[in-house]
Amino acid sequence: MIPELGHFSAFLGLMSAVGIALFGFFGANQNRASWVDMSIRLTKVQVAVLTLSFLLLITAFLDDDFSVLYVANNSNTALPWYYKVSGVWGAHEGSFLLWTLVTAVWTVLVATRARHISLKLHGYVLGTLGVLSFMFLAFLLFSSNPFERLVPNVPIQGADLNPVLQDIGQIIHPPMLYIGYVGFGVTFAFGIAALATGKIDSAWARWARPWVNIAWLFLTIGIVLGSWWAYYELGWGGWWFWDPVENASFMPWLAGTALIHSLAATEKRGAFKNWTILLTLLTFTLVLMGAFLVRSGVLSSVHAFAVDPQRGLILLTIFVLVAGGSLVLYAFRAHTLNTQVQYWGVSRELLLLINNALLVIAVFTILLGTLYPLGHEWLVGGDKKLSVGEPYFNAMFVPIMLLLSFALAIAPISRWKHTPMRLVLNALIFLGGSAVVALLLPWILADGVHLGVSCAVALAIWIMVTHAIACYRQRNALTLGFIGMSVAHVGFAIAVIGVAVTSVYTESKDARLKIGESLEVSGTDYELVSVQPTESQNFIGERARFDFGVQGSLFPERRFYSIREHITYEAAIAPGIFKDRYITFAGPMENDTWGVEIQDKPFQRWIWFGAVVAGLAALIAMLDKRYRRLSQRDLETRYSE
Amino acid sequence: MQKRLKTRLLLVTPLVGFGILVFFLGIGFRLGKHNVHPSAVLNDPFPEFSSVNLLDDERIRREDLIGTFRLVNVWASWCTACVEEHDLLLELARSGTISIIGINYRDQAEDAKTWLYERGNPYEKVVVDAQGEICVDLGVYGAPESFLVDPEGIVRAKQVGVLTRTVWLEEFEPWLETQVEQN
Amino acid sequence: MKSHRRRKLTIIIFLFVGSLATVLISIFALQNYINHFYLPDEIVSGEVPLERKIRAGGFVKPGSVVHESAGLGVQFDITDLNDATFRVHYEGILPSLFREGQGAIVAGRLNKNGIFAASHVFAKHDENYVPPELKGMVEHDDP
Repeated sequence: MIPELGHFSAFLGLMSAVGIALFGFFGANQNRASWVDMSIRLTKVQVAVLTLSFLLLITAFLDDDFSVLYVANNSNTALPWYYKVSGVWGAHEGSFLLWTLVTAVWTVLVATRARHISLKLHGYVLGTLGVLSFMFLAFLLFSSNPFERLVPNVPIQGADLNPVLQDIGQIIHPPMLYIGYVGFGVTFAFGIAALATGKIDSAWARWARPWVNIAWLFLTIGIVLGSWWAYYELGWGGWWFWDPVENASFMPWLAGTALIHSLAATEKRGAFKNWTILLTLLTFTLVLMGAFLVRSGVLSSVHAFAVDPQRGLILLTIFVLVAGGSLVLYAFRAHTLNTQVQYWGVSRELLLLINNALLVIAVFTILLGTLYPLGHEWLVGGDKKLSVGEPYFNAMFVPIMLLLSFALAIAPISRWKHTPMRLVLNALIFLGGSAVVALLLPWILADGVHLGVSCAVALAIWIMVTHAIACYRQRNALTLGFIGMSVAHVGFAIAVIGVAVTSVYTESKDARLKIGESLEVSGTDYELVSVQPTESQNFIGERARFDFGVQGSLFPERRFYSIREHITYEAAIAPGIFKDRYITFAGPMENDTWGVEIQDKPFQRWIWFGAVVAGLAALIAMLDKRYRRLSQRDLETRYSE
Repeated sequence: MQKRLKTRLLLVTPLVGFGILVFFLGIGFRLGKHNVHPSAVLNDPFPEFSSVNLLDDERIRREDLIGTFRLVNVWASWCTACVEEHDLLLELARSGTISIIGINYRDQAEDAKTWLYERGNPYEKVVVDAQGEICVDLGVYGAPESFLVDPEGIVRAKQVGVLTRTVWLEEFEPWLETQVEQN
Repeated sequence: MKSHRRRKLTIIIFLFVGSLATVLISIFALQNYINHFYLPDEIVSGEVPLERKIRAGGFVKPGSVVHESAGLGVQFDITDLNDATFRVHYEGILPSLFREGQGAIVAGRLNKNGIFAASHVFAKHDENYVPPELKGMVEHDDP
């Protein structure tokens, strides 16, 4: 009964999505407040029924209801309760139910929190979100129903959740990503509404910015969690693989970053209006493309969901309808948004333009690298397969990021319209200072100078210095917006240092050790003290103890999950501000030896720390007074148009 | 007027780019779909093998399959996807549509027997392939996988992954019907 | 008005040159950094460039996995399930889903002795996984 109820709830969600879309669009079109209000009310209904549906699927997991196919495939009685809950979004069907729930939550937030904007805009935004919600739910119900029954042959035991997914990082990683993805669906709706009304002004931009920021924040956190999870769970210390699925999340992130910057110019100067709208559309287009790539099996990846051609076809259709439709609308309507804004020399507008150009180029190169194998396969035929790996992405991406860093360091001292040359030259002096530090540091620390790393570190230090100085100079008139920007840029600089240093200075050794033997890595001896059997509800394995330094110990494990016959390596990590020690234990070898790999990864944490700092900066900027002040004033104008 | 036209053209560029993108995604999608039905031993004789029947522990060889149309189905008790096609197999077996031979792939005999006992047995015979050797000869990627074998022992159709009703109705059954008519 | 026009022209030229440069650089980088994928029979037949970074794949031949006596070195055979088989040497911990009889992809260099020195070994976290490159493999052998 419970699965049927869940299925029915989801169906009610679909119905309310139809209502939200119709009342929203026609309410806006006919300028009828009562219809838009109806749409607002329906968003509450929708979020209620989808929450219920989601809770019922969780119930099915907790009850071990293996008559539900999805539960049987992704759960097991031996699973701890929290993994049963997270198993709900461990595979395609349930994760997509979560996706639709997230859409409903965003929609209800936009419906209730954004009452100060004009009625027309509000109606169009809700209408667009209703259409998106409808498509997602239709896809869920007609091709990926998580409540599908498995009768009459009900298994007594489920297949277990994929062991690599049995992990805290994996519990929170997908929801964060989805919140981010769908958040860009909201900004997409803003873009569509702007095109539909033909009006985009600084009020529109001011109104859109907090939403973009929060979507971006969640996407950032989602990507960081994914990277962190891969780092400790996949067992070999990599933190970014340029894997198609990672690229699928990274491309919207880059486009979203460009959008944040372009919106700043649109809000403050009324500049780049066309471009901003295009970015709102492109970001979500990339989100949908990512969903298609991940869930259709077009590209292979460690993370990809199971392949089902029918699903892929439906997703491709959604992609073409939503993204293609929006771009057609753009082609016909965007000329109404034309603007003339003047700026000269190294103005802030120019820097933002450079930022956007570089970010879009970055998206383009990643897109090219991700899809190139498909194109090649088609041109040359199925015979010669090829893949685009790390070297290509690094070769393309590193120079782009260095150029970006350069523009970014001048950002805080730049002015709208025109920046006096004096200020630019001042900033360049600090670059010299930073370069000296970046060259001296590795020389003093005696590891030898690596020019690329010094270059990146110099730029990073320069960014920090210019932002600190700019904040100090403006100390009496600091807005949260400016602080947010500075913190975000400093976060970026921190991450740059982390990436550069870790990539080049990581030291890794592997060996076979007997008990009592030790291995020296980067000046530290790691002694294998003991190996003990370990076991839990659903796995057995060995747990090793390594001692190092004065009183450091690490306990890496090798586990064997019996139900899926699956081995995992639970790396042991000693995290630190300046270095991570990372031990992977490979288990028994011949002659009483044990396989081990030990890595010394300097500045590893800085990557994620920097990204999280940047994410939180988006939150700081969002709290800026001007976003709240506006609500009172605009409330009066809501019905006046 | 000319300037406006230029602006318009510029605004259409994203759409054009999108068109190209969709084209390549569509291509990739078609290629991917094509790959779902590879043909390891298609139109080749079913490989020689010699093993035991899980159900009665009697010896079983390739010759035992010859003489009638067979659906050879690779399965295992650890294979979760196999559950999805089980209903269809049971239905085919009970209606007498075709004789189904199971290949029990890299499995424990006890687990396999329990599995069949709990879910029902659609198989006339079950070839034990504990080491996966037969499946290597067959070019099996993993369970489940299904082969349609004609009375001469030639593999005529193949499904990698779950044998869905659609695949059965659209690919296996039509072929089977034309063959039966010819004979 | 005139200067404004010239500015606009500069921006358009800048954008055009910029995007052209990006495309050219990308294609150049792709030419250089692409990993070609080879099947066992191609490796065996000697049509594969030696000492260049490539990828190859097939099925891990059951019973062929041998751990070397020191270090984490391991050797195994990759086969296309027909006659073609080549030997792989890898130094490090094999991925958790690496298993005999299952599909695997190796990245590295083929040396002149016909041994593939792998820097990475890939296997997917799913028991039914076949690397898409391998799905084509079987068709490839078909007449």
